[in-house]
Amino acid sequence: MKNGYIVEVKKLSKSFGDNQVLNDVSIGFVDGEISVVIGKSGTGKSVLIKNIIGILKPDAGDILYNGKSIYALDTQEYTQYRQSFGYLFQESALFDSMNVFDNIAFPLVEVKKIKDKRYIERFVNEKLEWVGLPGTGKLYPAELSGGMKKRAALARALAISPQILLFDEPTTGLDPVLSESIDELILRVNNELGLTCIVISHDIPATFRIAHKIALLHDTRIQFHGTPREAVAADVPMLKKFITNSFVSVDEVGD
Amino acid sequence: MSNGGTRSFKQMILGSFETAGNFFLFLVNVLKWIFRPPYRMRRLLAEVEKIGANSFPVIALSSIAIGMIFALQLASLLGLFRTEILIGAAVGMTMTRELAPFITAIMLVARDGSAMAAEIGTMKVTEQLDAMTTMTVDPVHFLVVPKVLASVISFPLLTAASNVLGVFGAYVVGVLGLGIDKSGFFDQLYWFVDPDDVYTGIIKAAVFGFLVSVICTFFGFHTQRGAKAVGESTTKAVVTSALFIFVADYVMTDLMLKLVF
Repeated sequence: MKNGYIVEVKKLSKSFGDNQVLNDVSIGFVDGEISVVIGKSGTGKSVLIKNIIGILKPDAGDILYNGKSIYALDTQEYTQYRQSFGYLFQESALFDSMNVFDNIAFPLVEVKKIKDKRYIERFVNEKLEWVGLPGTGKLYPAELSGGMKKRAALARALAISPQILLFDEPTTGLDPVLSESIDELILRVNNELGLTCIVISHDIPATFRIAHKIALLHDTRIQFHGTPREAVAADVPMLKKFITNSFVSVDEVGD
Repeated sequence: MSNGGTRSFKQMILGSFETAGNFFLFLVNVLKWIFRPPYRMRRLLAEVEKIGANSFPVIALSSIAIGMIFALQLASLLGLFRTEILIGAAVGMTMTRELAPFITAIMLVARDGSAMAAEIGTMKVTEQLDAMTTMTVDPVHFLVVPKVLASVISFPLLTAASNVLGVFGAYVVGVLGLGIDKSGFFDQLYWFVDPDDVYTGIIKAAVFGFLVSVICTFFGFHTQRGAKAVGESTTKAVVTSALFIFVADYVMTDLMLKLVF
């Protein structure tokens, strides 16, 4: 793993018809860190993540995993590569025909091919407890609040035992208090489980709370990549705009 | 025709080719996954219960009704020649060869085909299919294959039930209602209806089951964004399935008349 990158995107381009979404995008994600990719809505943050995880194929460029191109992997290695990711979708994407228990058991049964029912039950209950949802296994996704859905989806993403967790706008649609609890969960995933986290967000306060590295995707390219401290000092107009528009002091609000 | 009209006509033609190409790729994908393990027997049985067992009441009611209506119409026609005794045979032949597989397929398109398209379409727009893909579980293998296999099993079984219940409807009207001789009714039925009539109808039903399930799941998979798109996919799935049933029925009837009867 040269330069500590677990995943490295090299000169990646992707377009849909005439719409160029990503152009020569290069960025590395350091093993064990939380990297947050920020940018305006529709700038291709989710497209970048979907290229990394293999849902989309790039038009050009390469993706390296532990220094090796994923396009040079054989079928079995590529499957293992994809199974090293957990993905927390923006709307959680829990299977609504299954209850919470079956949702979390799904990767154990279908991916890891585990048949021991007692092991599955113990594992699922442990994960539910870890994300703060004990005793909710029998509930269906429709019976959960937005925050509970995110937690259940995180438990499902963890069930595959990933090395890297991808979060697609994890706090969108949640109130500030719930948002903070999700941020704390991301920090716990990183600190306690040692997982690399790649987060897509336009929640700047949350970004500064959790990020080891911040990247700005704008106009089809990565315009900035560095630590939060470097982000504050950087002379990148769009980044400045993002930061200044997101932090409002009490003095400015007035009475 | 204005330029705008020409352009939209061209787009429509190109769009049709694109849909046909995507359907072909989807079909190849379904055929590929049907023969690959793991074979999810529990999911298959659940789908057979949903498509087969749970559809039985609606198929039973419509088959009995068709048998009764058909018997009434035939009674007035055959009565002109004092040959009402042929009601059982006429209903039996038309049910086994044509009506039972056709009614079963149309009813199941409305009941289960629409549900397949809506279920998979909703999963598409809420990223549940993507979630499955990211876990390296192929949605075609997990969701579509059990539905296709269950349809290929259930459509013929329900068609067989429809044959019996259609004749039962004709019996109710002919024997119990119009007083036709019971043994004559069954004697003519036995004399005119051959096993080939039953087999060909069952084969038709299996083909319809395959077509309907593949078409409906295809439109579910290609749902665009939003709740409105789910409705559009469901409508397209039902209309296209019904049209394909007509076309496939004509082709198979023509083939069977030349090869079997």
